[in-house]
Amino acid sequence: MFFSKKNRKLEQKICGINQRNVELVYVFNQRKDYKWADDKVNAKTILHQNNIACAETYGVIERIGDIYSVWKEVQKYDCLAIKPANGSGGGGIKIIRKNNDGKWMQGGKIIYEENIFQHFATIIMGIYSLGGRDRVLIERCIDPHPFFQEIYPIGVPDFRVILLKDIPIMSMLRVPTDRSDGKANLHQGGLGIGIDMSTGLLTTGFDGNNYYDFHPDSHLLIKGKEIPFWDELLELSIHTSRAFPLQYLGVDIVLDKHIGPMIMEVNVRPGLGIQIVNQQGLKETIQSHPLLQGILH
Amino acid sequence: MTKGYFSSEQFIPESSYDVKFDFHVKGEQETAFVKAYLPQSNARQNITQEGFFSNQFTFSNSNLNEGRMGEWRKQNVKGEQNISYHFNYSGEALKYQIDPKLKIKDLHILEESFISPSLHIQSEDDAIQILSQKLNRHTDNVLFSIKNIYRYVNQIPSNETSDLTDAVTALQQNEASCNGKSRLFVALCRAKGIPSRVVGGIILETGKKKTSHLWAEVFLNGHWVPFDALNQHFAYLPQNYMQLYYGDHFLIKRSKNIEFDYVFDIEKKEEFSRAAMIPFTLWSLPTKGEIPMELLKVILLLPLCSLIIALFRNVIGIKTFGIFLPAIITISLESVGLMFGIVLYLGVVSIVGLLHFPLTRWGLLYTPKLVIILIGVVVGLLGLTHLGIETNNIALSSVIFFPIVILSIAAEKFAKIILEEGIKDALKIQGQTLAIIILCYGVYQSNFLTGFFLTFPESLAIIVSIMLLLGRWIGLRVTEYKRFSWIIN
Repeated sequence: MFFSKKNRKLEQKICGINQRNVELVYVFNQRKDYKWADDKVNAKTILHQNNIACAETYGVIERIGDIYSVWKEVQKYDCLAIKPANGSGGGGIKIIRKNNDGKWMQGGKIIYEENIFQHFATIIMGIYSLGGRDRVLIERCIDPHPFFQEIYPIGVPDFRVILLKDIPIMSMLRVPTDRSDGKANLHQGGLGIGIDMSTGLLTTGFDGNNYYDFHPDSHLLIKGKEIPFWDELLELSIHTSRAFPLQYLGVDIVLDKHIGPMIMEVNVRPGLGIQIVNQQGLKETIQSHPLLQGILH
Repeated sequence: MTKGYFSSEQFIPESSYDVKFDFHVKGEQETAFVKAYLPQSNARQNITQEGFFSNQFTFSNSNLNEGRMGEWRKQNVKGEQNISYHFNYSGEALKYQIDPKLKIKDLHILEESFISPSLHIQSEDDAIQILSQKLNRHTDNVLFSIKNIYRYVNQIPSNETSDLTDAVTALQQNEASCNGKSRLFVALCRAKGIPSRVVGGIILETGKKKTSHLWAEVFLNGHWVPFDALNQHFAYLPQNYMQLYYGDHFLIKRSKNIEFDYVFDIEKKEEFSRAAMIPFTLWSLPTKGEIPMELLKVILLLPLCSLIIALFRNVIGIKTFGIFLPAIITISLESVGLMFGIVLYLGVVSIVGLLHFPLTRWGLLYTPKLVIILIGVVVGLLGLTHLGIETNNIALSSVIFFPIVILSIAAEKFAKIILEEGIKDALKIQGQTLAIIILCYGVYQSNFLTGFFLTFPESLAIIVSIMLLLGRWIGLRVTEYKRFSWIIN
């Protein structure tokens, strides 16, 4: 079965984990530079230095003893995004908002200070970062662009652009679904939507089981929709790629109502599922690009 | 491999012996003959460089059921004559493990004679029957019955007699040498319905001797399993036990009309071993007492198991808990056996899984949560041990020796994966890890592989080369064909 025509065709199109590691990650990213992308606090340092749009950093908690002072500091804001600097897959992220009485709310319920402090402590103890110690990043909340209302009204969708040698080669939009609980990650049930790189138009969505022209839950049309700020979005990803010492990376971009495209995160080993979403292989894409010849074998 | 049953060779360097049978014949008569069983090569012993010297005796050779019979014959023997027969023997020790669940009714008899009384093995004699009843009335378990018989025969005081002692005499005198003890052992086995026979041979050791040796064999699931209650070998045949014939026979027969004497002249060849033939092997390490065999085996086979794991991960695309963890869990299974070990492992994993949810819901910090989970595992294992002691179940009560540290690591890893990937993926990875563990267990149990790596430790270089190739291999993993098949549809 492995010698079928279909599988030969797959081998010509697809870049698997082995090839990605050997010919892309190890060649274009130095191990010592991973820390600039893997750690969100470090990544934001680079982004701020290069004046690249990203969510404003409200505070960073490095030690348990700093919790109280930083917490006092951020009371002046109305909405906080709390993240572990080394988390992965959206684990440990809490969005809290003040209600009209000035009480902190999470997902429609009041959250007490002690629970928030405990969450900080949990992050610092490293529960979301594979055991090592970690830092808490507190930043401005994203206000999703109204464009996303036209697809699915809940959660924060984001774009993933994969760049090789500062050239954007493939991208997708990730949108939450009913079963993804507001999260947009593919393996948490989010819907990935392919993007035609040259036109900035959405193609079809993929949720792990099927391809869709409409969002499976909101039933709103996806196919052929034009992404607002597409050129700026690409431009931002290229700037980001140039600012980091990494040459193969996945850049996550959100579209804020007030600010426009903003960088959320940078990944050293972007996942390979984007190929399924776009129904297009990384290998064929890279091999057919005039400036990326001879990189993949 | 037969059902529930396997044999394994001990990794003692193969020794070799030069053996000479010297027969002295003196006579004035017409025709004289000397017959003796001669050794044959078989799966565990190898006979080479055979030769004989005899003054005008004609030699003939016949293969009988019980062994190979050599016969020297001469007409008109006058004065003193010498016959000598020499050969080189090399052999391996044999060790058998008996299925503890084997029942007597499941035994294959092979031949009626193996459970019937014979002239010197009077298994239907009243005294033997009464003793058999006393020893084994309440059990139909083979291993248990043999152990009782072995223990009884073993505690009979030994003597040095070379006279024939039959089973009943050995019992009545409560004193016997190898031949009496072996016949009594066989008689008791047959009285219980366990097919058995005596085996004749010589214990090889440098020097001249006249004593041959008799031991017993029991037929279990297609194997003749050796027992020597005199020298305390239970289901074990030392490498210097040379087999000559099977059944209750005399090693040497000769015509009555001659004066006859004989001696076995044996010399151990010091340096013949696999080690001597191959420049560098590790066989000698355990016998020199520098490192226990078990440890050496683990060290040598760990790279091989890691190779298997690497292939499964990078070529097939299976996920496991860590890279070396499955190989190491496998080692810890060895002390309790595969089936029970797996049950135990799954038990530990379920405890971890069950404790994980309430503890996470209460929002406990990571490390304290893990400590509670570990205590849950420890309590579970202690409970099993207690149950084992209460019910006299050795397998259960030995759980305490099951390396708890390794299980703890596994528990921690599992808890972490539940957190990272969710319970569904964690269970999937768990199942794949278990499959790899079973595979690695097979590797650790393989005598061939252990022997191979002991003999050719340089084979580790092969693993390194495979890993060098694998490290640069960019092909799709087997699971990726399915994962990406969407793209073509």
